[in-house]
Amino acid sequence: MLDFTPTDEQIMLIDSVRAFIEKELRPHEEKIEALGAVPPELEKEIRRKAIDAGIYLRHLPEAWGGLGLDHVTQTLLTIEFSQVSSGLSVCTSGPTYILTKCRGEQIERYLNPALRGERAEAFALTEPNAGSDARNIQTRAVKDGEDWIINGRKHFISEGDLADFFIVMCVTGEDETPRGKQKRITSFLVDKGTPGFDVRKMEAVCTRGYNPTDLTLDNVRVHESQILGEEGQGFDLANDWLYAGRIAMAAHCVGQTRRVAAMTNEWAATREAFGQTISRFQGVSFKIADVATELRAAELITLSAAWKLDQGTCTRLDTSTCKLFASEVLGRATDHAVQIFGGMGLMMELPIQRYWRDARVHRIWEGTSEIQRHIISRDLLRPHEQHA
Amino acid sequence: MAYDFGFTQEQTMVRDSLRAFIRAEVYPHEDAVYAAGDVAPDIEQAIRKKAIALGFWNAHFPEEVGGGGIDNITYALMSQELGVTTWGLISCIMGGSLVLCACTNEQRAAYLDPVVRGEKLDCFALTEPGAGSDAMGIKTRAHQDGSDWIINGQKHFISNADRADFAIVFAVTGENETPKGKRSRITAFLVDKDTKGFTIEPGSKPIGNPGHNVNNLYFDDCRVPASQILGEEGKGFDVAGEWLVPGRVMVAANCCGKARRALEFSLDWAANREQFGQTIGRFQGVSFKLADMETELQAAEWLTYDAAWRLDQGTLGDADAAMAKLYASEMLGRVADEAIQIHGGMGMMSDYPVGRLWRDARIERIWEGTSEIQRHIISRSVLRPLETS
Repeated sequence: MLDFTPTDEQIMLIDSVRAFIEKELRPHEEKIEALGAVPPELEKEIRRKAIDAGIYLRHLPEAWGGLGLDHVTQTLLTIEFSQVSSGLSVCTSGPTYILTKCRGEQIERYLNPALRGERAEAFALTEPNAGSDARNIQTRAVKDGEDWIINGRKHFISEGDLADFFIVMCVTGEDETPRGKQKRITSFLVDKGTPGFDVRKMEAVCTRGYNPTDLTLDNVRVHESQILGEEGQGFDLANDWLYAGRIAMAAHCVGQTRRVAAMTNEWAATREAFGQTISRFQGVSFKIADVATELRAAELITLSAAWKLDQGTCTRLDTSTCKLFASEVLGRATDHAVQIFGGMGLMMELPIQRYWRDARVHRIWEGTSEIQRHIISRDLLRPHEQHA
Repeated sequence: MAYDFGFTQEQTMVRDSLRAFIRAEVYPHEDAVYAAGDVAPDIEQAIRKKAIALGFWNAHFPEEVGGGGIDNITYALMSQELGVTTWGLISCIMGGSLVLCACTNEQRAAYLDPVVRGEKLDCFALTEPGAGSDAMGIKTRAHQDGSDWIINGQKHFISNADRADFAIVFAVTGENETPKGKRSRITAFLVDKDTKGFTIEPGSKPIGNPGHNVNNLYFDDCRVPASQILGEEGKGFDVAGEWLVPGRVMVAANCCGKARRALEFSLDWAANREQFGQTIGRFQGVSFKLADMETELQAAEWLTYDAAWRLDQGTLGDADAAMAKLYASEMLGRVADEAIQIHGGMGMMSDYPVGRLWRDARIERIWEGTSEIQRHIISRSVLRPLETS
């Protein structure tokens, strides 16, 4: 039975998260933007406050001390956390779900300190020659006794500058499959400071403080106990993450659109030109109508995917349509915002330029718009081809 | 109270049975309707008879007046199914203006009841040559003469007036002083087809939706008793408004249905049409269009269901309905256009379904409030609370 209302519990959570963002994160936004990084002491302080507030593990099941929230609730919270700089909001949440696959000694060395906010991880898949085509990574690990020797390069690794260790996806062989040869991919836990492992910050035009890094792995030796999950099963781990990750990314776009739309509407309603507020000109107000409409559609399509994930009926097509739609909506909304603010939209003293810059990457990461369109169209066309 | 994006079993059953009905009983007549440019009386009668028997005809009317009493989510799902075909045929499946629920007990026997039973047809006469989007600007006047009212004026774009037994006619009956200046008092009248001074003539010929004819209505000292007023004198827009806004939600649903059919045609075509040694669906220039069509269609569906749900909750605002109607009709415009592009030259052949659908679809961005009127409503609703002056 259709229902588009949050529960009382969800409303309470949203309210407390809003208060936390307002008090603990917003005041630091401009500083982070100017510095291009979150100072380590601030990062630690935010982590501690998020732990104290009980929201640090909000995305994890109760078994790991998490809140055990369903995907709809998580999506609602992500919409809130996306209304502040990513560099700050990322400090409020603990390790990726993939890390819960830690076994044996890994638990004390990686998982538990990460859950306690003492160590931070970064996820390293993308390479200079393997972006959308993630299966094509070149970084290799070769077995040497009980050790593996890793050689290769990763880039665009978010938060690598703050991470204490990395989940590094490597090729460890080849499998014969019905669709031809496929690389065997394995994930390794690699500590920062391991000999031969170098992390370098990349400069981005967007999301300052949430920094991409470039990793070089030159004969990095790790023990076989550093394999996360099973040898050759690295992509199974990543797939879990990619699925919910696309819905989360759509939620980010919804939150950012909400923020930029609120500011734009306020501006249009008070800025005067030609003797009236510019909100009275249809050239302005019709853009605002389109953004309001698309924003609501983006919210609904994103929450519908999260709800399906909770029901166990979410398909790859569902995650792709919401990610594609919400990121494209954000792109249009931020561009309209700059247009409505006029010259001020491009001045550093207002945050509109930042929202516009930060928005751009959402049509690229977590699967570009083109990859989403590829997935959607293949899933749509396949049944029609079989009937032919 | 918790997010739920699922339909009830009953809702999907109604939808599925209407879908099956349209495929079995309506699709087979489409070629003949487009070829003739009209719906032949025998086709109209045959479809309507079956639709009445199956309970589709009056499903949207409340149970108290003999209707199906469906909720608005079901109504939206049904409207979506209806949207797949052409308006001349849609009008044979489900009919009757909900405005007629304003009938008094005395009026019911002559107007509401026979409409619900499918024995009489009504038409809704608001638009005039000089009053389209600006509906408040109508010029048709009624002045009182004893216990009668005398109507003078002209209406146009009145759908289905050629088949109707009576018209719901909106006329100016005076002026009100309001804080925003003078406003016409508007009253709705029930006017029977053969009333003296009332003539119906075929209007211009639309480029789409054959059989869904528009007509001109002329009132030349047309005398009706005061008992023919629907609702109260001066309250015609209250009567209309209560149904016009929900009507926009159903138009949004119609658009989703039509877009789904255009997408299905396009998928079948792209998956089987070969060029350069492969099916054209393998070219991203084609397949990415399909992905966008699906994505935007899903977005439009959720906006529509959300608005229908608000209608059931009693919380539907003008802007909520406007968002659904605006987005769904604009989405249909893009989807129908891309469907033509994917079909190439075949898309422009008039005996091919996608070209017919494209022509039929164009009106959806105009009637029931143009896209521009919807954007006006949405932007005013967003901005008014923020304006200090």
